[in-house]
Amino acid sequence: MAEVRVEHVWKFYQGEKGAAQRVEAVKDATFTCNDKEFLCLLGPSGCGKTSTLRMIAGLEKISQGDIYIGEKRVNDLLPKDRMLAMSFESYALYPPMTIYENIAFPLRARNWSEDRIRERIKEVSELLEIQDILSFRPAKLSGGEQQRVSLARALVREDAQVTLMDEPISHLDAQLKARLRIDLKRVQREWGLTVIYVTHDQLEALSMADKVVVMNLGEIQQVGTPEDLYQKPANLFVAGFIGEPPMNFLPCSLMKDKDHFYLQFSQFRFEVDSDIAQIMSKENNPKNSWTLGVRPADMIVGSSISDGYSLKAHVFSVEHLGESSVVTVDIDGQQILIEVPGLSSEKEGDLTLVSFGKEKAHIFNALTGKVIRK
Amino acid sequence: MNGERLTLGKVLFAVGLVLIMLWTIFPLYWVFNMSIQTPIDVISYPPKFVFDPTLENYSVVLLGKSWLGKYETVQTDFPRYFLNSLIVCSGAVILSMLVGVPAAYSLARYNFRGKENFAFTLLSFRFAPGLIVIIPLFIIFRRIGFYGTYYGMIFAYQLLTLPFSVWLMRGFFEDIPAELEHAARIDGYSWWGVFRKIDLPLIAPGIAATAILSFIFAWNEFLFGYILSSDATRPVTPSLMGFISYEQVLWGQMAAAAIITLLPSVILAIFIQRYLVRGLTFGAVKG
Repeated sequence: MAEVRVEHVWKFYQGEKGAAQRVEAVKDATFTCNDKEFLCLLGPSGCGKTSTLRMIAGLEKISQGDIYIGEKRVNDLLPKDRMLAMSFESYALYPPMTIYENIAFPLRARNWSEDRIRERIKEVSELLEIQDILSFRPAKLSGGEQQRVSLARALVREDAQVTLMDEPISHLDAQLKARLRIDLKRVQREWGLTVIYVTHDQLEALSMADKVVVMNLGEIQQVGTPEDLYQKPANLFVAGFIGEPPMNFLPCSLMKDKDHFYLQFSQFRFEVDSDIAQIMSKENNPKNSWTLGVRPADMIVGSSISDGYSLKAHVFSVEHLGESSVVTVDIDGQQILIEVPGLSSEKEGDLTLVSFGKEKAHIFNALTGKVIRK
Repeated sequence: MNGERLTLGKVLFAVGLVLIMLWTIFPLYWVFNMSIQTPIDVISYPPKFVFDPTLENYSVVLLGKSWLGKYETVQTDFPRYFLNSLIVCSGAVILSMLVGVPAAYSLARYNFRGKENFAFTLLSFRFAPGLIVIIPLFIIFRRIGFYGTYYGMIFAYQLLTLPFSVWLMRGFFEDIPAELEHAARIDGYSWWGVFRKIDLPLIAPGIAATAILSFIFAWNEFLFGYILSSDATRPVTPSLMGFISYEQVLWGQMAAAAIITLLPSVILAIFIQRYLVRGLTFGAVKG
């Protein structure tokens, strides 16, 4: 096992006709995946997370910057010399081979003896519960089984320094996903694997990762633990991407009344500490447009709260999702989602009160997206 | 009611099939008939469907002797021509595969300048009728000493089989997901190892189908064989012309030779039929 360091890595593709248009898929990515760490690259499709992974794997050339595995710079190494294991979104099982042969394939490349291969496959197949299907061919298996075989082929490599996974469970149904999330995390811990895992599903990232790298439009937005991302989003993108339902954003302007600063949204005012206002005044924001963000789960509906704000709003819709409900209210054309436990008694069209604690509000510069924090 | 209609439909379908079969098979039947008739029966009118069959035509064609019995013949060295065809067609197919497999692979997998132009130019060889190129080719072959040689013939036949092979196999390679190769490369194999262990087993039916079709194309080729070969390297198709003599056309022997000429294509097609269909629908079934 080894750590992986990605340092100022760029990936650009030349445009179709001539060199006029340069497409930048990854822009100046820098992060470190520590030894035995589970790192997730998270972002919407086309954000550059898969390009980043493929550059680490050596399937794609690094346009600029360096990638280190352990102490070794791997830019010019072939994939086979980087000592990696990888599991693919499409599983990429070799169709003419049996499952056993598929899993043995990387070991054969290393000239293992047949006895040793058999023993190792026994170990791995028991772990992933695929002992019974070793003699089948991939086409006979269900998606979940193919998935586990693909993982087995990645995990069978004892000498792999890093295990890469590209959306390995994105095509499975919800139940299997939940089970494999737990299995994967358990295997990673037990075997002390260094894993770099690509996904667009925030739930996968938040539930498994020790560290998450959030990417958008080729740029890294934030690197942090799942708790960091949820509680201290660095910008509007991360705030909106992490969390389900997504964070509510209220457009505001910064105002001053005598000595007090406040953010004005519709007819509501939210106090702003003077030291925060100080920071805000230094921001690049000529139009004085700010965004106040509050998570749906941090709001309550139907009553006020001490040391917080209460807004009058009309109930727009109520969704019952079993153990929780999502109430959507409307304030001057702005829709706000509130997640409440259990069944909500709100009725559509009613006038109600929406409240949240002062400390639950995040302030963002609406122009740059940057969070304003002490 | 429904069942009856279905039966009627089935009957009509069967009748249609039989008609198409008759239409297709009849010329073959007629040639076969001619090949087992004596010269008198062949030219009799109205044509005879019942006659005393004879194998004389075959023995004359295969043994290559002048017939000394009831009727005349020209002397043809048919087994030699048959062998020539085998050499030239196999040579052309082997050459097409040796050049075509790497060409198809690189067209399917890599991006390089002028890739599509190259592929199209290759295909465009098939657009032009052979008649357009045959005279210049003949003159060039005379000059550089290719005329009437096996390697010259193989080179000319390869012009027919290579473009076809490259285009067919390019599709097969494109149907192999690139991720399979990526996975194998990460698993620790070199480019050659991946090609040999992953690509080749997957594409083997496709290569077999392509090779067989190419062989049949080459085998049935007439023009290049007719113009570019000398008597020593003449393939079977133009050799059938040898049965047209000054005084008469030796229909019976020509038919016998034609039937023998047909055999390799038919046998190949029958034995490899399932393979062939699988090879040609390799990509189609996946979509």
